[in-house]
Amino acid sequence: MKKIYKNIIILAVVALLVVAVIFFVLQQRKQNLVQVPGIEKIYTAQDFPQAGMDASSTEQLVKRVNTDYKYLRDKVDYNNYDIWLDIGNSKQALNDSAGAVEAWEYAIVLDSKISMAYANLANYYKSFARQYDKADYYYNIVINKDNTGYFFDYEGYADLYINYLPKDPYKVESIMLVGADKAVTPNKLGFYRYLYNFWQGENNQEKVNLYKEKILGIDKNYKF
Amino acid sequence: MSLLKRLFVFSLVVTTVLTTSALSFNVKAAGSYGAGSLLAKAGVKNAAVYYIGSDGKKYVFPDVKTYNTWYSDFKNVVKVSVTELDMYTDGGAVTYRPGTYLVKTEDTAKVYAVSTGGVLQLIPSEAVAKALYGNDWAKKVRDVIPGYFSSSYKFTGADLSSTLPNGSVVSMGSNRYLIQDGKKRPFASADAFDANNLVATFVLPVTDLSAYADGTSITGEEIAISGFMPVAGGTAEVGGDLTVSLASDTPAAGIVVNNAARYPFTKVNLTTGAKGVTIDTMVIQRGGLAQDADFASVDILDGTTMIPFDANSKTFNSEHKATFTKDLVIPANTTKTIYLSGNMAANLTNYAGEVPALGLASVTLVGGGSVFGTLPVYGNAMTTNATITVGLPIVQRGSYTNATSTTIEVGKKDYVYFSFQIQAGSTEDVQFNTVSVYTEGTAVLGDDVTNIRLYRDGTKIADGVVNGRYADFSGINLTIPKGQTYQFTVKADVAGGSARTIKLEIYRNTDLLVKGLTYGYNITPTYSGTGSAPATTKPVLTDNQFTISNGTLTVERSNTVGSTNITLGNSQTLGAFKFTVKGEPIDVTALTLTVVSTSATTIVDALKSVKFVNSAGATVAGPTDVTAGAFTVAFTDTFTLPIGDTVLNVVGNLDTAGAWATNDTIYVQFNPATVLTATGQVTGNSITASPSSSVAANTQTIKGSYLAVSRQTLPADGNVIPGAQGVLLGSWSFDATNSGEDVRINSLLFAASSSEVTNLTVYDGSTALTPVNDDPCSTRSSCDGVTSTFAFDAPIIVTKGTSKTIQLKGNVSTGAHANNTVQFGLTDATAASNPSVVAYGNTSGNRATLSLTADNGAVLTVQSKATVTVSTYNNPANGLVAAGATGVTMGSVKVDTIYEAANLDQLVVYVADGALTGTAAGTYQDILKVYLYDGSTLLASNAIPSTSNYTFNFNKGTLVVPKDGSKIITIKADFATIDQNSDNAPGTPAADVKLGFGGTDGFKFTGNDSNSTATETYNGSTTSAMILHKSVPTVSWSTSGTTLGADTAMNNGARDIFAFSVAAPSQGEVLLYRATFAIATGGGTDTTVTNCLLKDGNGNVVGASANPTMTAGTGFTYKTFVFDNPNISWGNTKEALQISAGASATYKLNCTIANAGTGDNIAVSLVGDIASSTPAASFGTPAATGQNPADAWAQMEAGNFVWSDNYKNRGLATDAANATAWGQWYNGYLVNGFGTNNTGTAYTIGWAS
Repeated sequence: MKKIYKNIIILAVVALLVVAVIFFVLQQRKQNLVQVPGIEKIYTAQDFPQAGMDASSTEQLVKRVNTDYKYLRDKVDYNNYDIWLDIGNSKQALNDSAGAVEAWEYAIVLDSKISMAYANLANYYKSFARQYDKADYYYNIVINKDNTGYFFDYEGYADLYINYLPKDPYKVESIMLVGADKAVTPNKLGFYRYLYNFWQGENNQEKVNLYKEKILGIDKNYKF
Repeated sequence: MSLLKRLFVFSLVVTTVLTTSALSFNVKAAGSYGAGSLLAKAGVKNAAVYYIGSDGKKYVFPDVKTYNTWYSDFKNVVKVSVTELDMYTDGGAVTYRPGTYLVKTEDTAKVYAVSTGGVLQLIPSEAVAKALYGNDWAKKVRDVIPGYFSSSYKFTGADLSSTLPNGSVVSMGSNRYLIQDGKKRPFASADAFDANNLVATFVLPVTDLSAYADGTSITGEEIAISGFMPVAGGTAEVGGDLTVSLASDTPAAGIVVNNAARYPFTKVNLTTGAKGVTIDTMVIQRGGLAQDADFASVDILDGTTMIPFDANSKTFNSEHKATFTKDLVIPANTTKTIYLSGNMAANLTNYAGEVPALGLASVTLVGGGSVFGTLPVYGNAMTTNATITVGLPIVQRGSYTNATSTTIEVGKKDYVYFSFQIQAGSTEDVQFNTVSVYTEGTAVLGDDVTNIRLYRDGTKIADGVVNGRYADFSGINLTIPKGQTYQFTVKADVAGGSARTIKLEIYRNTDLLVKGLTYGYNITPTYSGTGSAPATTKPVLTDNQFTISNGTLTVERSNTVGSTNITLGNSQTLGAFKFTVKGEPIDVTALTLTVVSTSATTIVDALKSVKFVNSAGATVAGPTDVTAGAFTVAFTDTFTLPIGDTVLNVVGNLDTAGAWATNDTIYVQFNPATVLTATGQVTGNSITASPSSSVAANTQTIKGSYLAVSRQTLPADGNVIPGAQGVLLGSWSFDATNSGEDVRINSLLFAASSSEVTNLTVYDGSTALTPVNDDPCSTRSSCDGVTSTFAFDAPIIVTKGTSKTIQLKGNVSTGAHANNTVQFGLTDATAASNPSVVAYGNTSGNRATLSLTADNGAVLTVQSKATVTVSTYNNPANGLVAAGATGVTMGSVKVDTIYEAANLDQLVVYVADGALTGTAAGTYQDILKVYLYDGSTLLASNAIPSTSNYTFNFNKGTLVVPKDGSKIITIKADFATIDQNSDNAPGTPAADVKLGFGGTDGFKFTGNDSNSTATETYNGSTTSAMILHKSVPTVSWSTSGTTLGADTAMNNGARDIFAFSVAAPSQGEVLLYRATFAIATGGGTDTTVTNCLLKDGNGNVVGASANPTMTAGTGFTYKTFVFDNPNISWGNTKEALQISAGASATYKLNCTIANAGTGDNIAVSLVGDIASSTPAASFGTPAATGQNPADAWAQMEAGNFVWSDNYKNRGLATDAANATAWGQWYNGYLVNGFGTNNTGTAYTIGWAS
């Protein structure tokens, strides 16, 4: 009997320990979970006082936002990248920057391989928030994810160093050449043409001639 | 120990601790330095210096200028720690010393004298200033920092009238006085003057002191005179009590030897209580079994610095007492230590073995207060020793002594004025450390006598620091070996002081300090030989006297009058000379100028009234005419040149009726040594000026008044707009470079061909002149021959030698007629009495000669309004764009404008289908929002409504295109996402869209000046077309540079003859359904290609083996593969391949080649699609039951390369939800890599050699 009692006590202690460990781990996991943005709210135009558009356009976009949230509610599916991307885009169009950033950041949580939300964050920080260090950060992520030389990723990044930050011609060139390097040959033309026009604006005839030759090397019949 | 006991002990300890702490709480921390001390923070260069006042507070010297009114050097500043500084509360700032300078700030014209305590007394007028301070009173004025001026000085003094303020030091004859409370207090001796830290520089010489009553004599230092008193009148620390006690560490009994100097006998603590004290006198008494004669003299040393606080040592009287009367201030709660020290007799033989002691016998306080302590307080007795002979240095006049001279010229440099030698005794080596050399002469050290240096033989060993009558040399630290004699000289430069004397000496026997290096005693030297005197007499060693002789006068050309143009007329400046005087003011009694001109005869006839004029324009000598028969002007007026530099201009009248010709030159010169007669004002001696050669002023060129007028390049012919204001109608250069005098333009007459302008205004630089004229045509029926005359209210002045720009501006009438011209010019080229430009010489009043380049002016054509041209600019190429992207640059438009600046009023932005074949119809729903940018500036943004266009209206000034300039407007868009559940909510997959303004109706600009809608020219505004997809693949294939793993040479057998790679972008995955290859063999005709299959990167067969099929008429065999995904099983056919987002996959075409040989080759290419005839909405809509949408492309012969962005987000499982079952498949048209090409570039390999 004594031995039984002893074993019971041992077991009880072990059980307590196990429960404690499980509880601790779950608590840690709970802390590590990202907060899911709420999806229950039905929006109206009054929720977007900074929209800055006519009533019809505002309603159009508000309706879109509600459609997206309804989809999430109906499907009980929080993890639709495209929906969250669209929510972010729509809220930015309604000048709800905080809501846009929240949605895009959640999209990134859902699938960090896809560059679209990063690109939209980069554009937001560049064009609206004017936080150029963050814009640069996100643009860098975008072009590092790019493996095809997607022109608009690089054009948006170069725009940062033309119109927003103090103009840095050689930074602009290096960005575009990274993209050209990744693009297949026919698509390199777009990058070279961009740089041709850019250096024309900078009155750098040497660079203009360089990229003219590169363009003709791809399309000898190109009309300047 | 029981608990009770433990508690008791604990409470006792606590009580003790608390009690002890409490006792220390109320004791005020006081510094170690008494009143009059100068302290600065240690370790900091140029640290602020504080004066410790009589109230124990520290007062900061706000700047060096203030400091130098009290002290001439920093040698007495003691560097202390911050902790020490913090022991003194801040009392404020030190003000200028009374009697030194007059003060003001830069923000006021009022000048004040400073009285004691920083009290200011206004000097109400220049007359009072001159009466009190002399004609050069202005030189005594100094600017004070405004902040300190208002906060540290007191504006409570009465205005000065006939007496000087308190603290002023004056001299009358050889006597000096301090002005105090309306009385004149004489200084009893030079010592008394020096004791109060006064400097001869600030002594004000006066001739009459009758306004002041006699005051008491000043015999020594008085703290109210020598130190800064923070409150007017100063109240020293008085009334407190003083406790006198022997310090516990008073020097132990010891031995004193012959000649020991400043030997410390007794250390005494002087401690104050809650109030400070001022000690009036202290009396040292000699005690012990000894005689007074043991001591040559005694000193009281400051216990911290070990320096006598009274520079004058004292001797014992008949009562064996020596009295010190220099005030010593001790602040409250302070303990001051002093040493009673003895300067021992030179010979203690008769006193050997005696044991003298020094005690403080009495202390007398100023004001009330008691002295506590048992007095006299003696230290230990010292035993005199006459057998130990310390090194006894002997100081005598040195071997470099110069004989007396009365001809020391001002400017003499590096002359020996004092020579002395130090002979170390035979007993020990000595170290020579410091010497203070005194001047008995009248020349002022630092002023008349400068750059005072100490040399040992020919080597400089120290620079002298001037301290009143002393030049102090310290830090010498020169060891003189026993028995050796070293020679020393004091050299200096003479900068001024004619008739003053230089007589340098050692005044007190302790002014030269040496220390024996064996016995370690400071030793008072013995002075002997020529010029010496007993130690009891001062000075103890003198050298010869030197008298500064005549001042000097040097003349040179002054470039304040350069080589310029002059004109005929009165008061023409012919040149300038600089006279430099040193030593004494010089009276010039005669000077003969020589005048040189290219027109020699004209000088006599036409140069008159030559005079010397000073910088204030006053005549100094002359006017005098040219001497008949000579080209000279002889001045006999006497004028005085003060010490320093004086520039005098030579001015004369050039007769306008004389025979002067334009470009004649003239200059003046003279030989100072021969034609200038001068006398020193102090010495009365004749002075020969230098140089002894002719000095010529700059040459002047005679010119008449002359003006050149020409039209400037701008404005050029151009356009103007009705309503434009301030339009530049013409600009002219008015050039008087070649004029002999300034030119005055009274009026201008402009010729106008026609006029549509009002408010015609002439500008002299940026200054608009009056009058302002109206449209000269307004009242005329014809505008031909019309002129507009401006008779200026204030004439235009063009300085000779310069030019300026004169402009005409006006406002274009709002009703100005299009194509009319506006033109204004200066058209009359007459040289004399030119009607277009009425100009005169500003000095002569003669009509100026004019050189005018006639010109009708710029032709300005009236244009009704701006013309704006809109053109596309730097549009990216048509292409695929990822759905859901924001801020995508669709394109730009360039807006050019001519005639006037144009304001953007309105833009209408359209969204339209891109009209690319093989795409879905793009609509407004594919665009979430449109943005219009000017660089980084967002001009406007909005969503596009269902009308597919949106009108943006802009406030004036939002975008202004400059006149004859351009602006770029960039159009960006946020693309809609493609919803997996529907095709049009909102974005449509494969839809193509473009944006634009839709033609001239799409934009509106308003002219800035005309306020009319600009004329529009439309070249284009449409952006590129973008095709929407969720993800956009990129295809590449084998090239000679990048084979992707394909064979590089041909061989028979199963070979990898081609490879291609598909990259899925990071925006999303890509599915592949079908790929088609074109194969052509070359060389021989026997080569066969069979059993072609497609493998993935892992070697899995994804396209089943089959023979290519020859297509007639093409020369190619084709092989099309529908893929078999190795990762799924659905019958191993029609299974799409999946490439994850951001990944790529490479596939190899493997065929069996036979019968190939040398000279043969095989070319393979991946086939794309030209377009698609598939209805936009279909995208592979199955044409038959059971056919999947991906497969449907094959039916159209436009599905060589079939892919999907899988926007439906379907899997590849074998059920109805399979991705291939949904309409989301596209062909190769415009896919990156293919472009618009149907077939990719072939990859050709030849037979392996």
